[in-house]
Amino acid sequence: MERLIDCSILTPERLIYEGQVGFAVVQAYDGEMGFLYGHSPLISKLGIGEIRLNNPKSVDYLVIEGGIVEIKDNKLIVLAERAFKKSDLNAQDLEAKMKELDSQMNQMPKFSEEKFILKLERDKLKVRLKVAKR
Amino acid sequence: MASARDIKRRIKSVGNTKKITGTMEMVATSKMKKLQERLNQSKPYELKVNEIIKNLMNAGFATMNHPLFREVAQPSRCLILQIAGNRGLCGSYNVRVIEKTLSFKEQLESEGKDVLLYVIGKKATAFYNFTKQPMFKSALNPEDKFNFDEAARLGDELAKLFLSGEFHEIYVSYTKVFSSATQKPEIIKLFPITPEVEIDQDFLPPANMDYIFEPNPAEIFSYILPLYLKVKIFTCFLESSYSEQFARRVAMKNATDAAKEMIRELTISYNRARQDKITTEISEIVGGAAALE
Repeated sequence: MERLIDCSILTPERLIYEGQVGFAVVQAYDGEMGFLYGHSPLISKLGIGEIRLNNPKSVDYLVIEGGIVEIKDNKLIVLAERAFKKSDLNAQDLEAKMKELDSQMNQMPKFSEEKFILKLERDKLKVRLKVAKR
Repeated sequence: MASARDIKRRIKSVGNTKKITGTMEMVATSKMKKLQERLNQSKPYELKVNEIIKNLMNAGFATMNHPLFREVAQPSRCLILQIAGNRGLCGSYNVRVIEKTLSFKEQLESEGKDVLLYVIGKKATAFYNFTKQPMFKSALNPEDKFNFDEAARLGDELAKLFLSGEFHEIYVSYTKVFSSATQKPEIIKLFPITPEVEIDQDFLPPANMDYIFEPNPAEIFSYILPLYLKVKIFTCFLESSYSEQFARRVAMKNATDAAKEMIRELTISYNRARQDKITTEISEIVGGAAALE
């Protein structure tokens, strides 16, 4: 018998992924968290990071930016605030944005609110870039 | 009786109107389909958020301590967020929302509460300006550009208003989609949060108790509540837009049908006028010929 979990990744705008996976890794609020068949029920907060969905044949990569994950009865549900598939992302565009952001940040004073916001934006971009390059 | 030329001119102008309404109908239909798709995509999210909240409450977590749940003993200041359209030509869509809002406002006022309105949509704003009713705030309906970020921004704004104690209760007046063919104006209470799921504490399934919460239920709870509000506002907007497009489509279909009927009638009277003219001419000729003999 195959031991698969039903996985669905949702954002308020759309259903981004639905399917069966063997092993799922998500970015929790303080580190990565892996799920296999038979995981006990859990609800966790998510951070900004990538999701890896391992199937026997392939691996799917996604980016999530905050949200909640729930697993129960081998059903994994990720409620993300925002999520992207690897195919949604373009490494070149992201790199250009990254450069622009870096130059913006360099012009700012060291500890300012704007810089903090930009830093957050940069973290998001970094993850997107990482996934886009996979 | 109008001359044949006058009638012809009218047929042409009605025909032009028909073209416009026909196009608007098609535009509304395609927009409606898109919105339906978005609604279908966001529905599971809303259901899931509700479910997680239910699970959290079932886990015996004392929810009522959260500030967003806090009820004021004697609520006296209320805000109604009214979602209507920017544009007309959509039948009674805007009017129905306004009517519902006003009757609800009256009801609240009869309970001795101060009610202010937060109006979204150009049409509704124009109405309140015309009737010289004060508004707390008014904004345009973002229509097609509406996305979750917009809902999040609005949600934060309302939450701030509620938490600061400026308003004790906040309601949303929008058009709810009951099925793809029936929509009705509805009013729901946004703050203080009253979960839709009534939980009977006696009948808790024990299985729900053994969730693991990371980092802890309180943290998750305070994260998911604002999310719940945002999702709620988001779906309210989507449903309203869907209803608007639906109403517009129906109105435009009626207008197109009416134009068709009018053209048909006008064509008959045009033919009649033409025939009349011919008959008159013939009888004149025949009369003239008879006079010559």
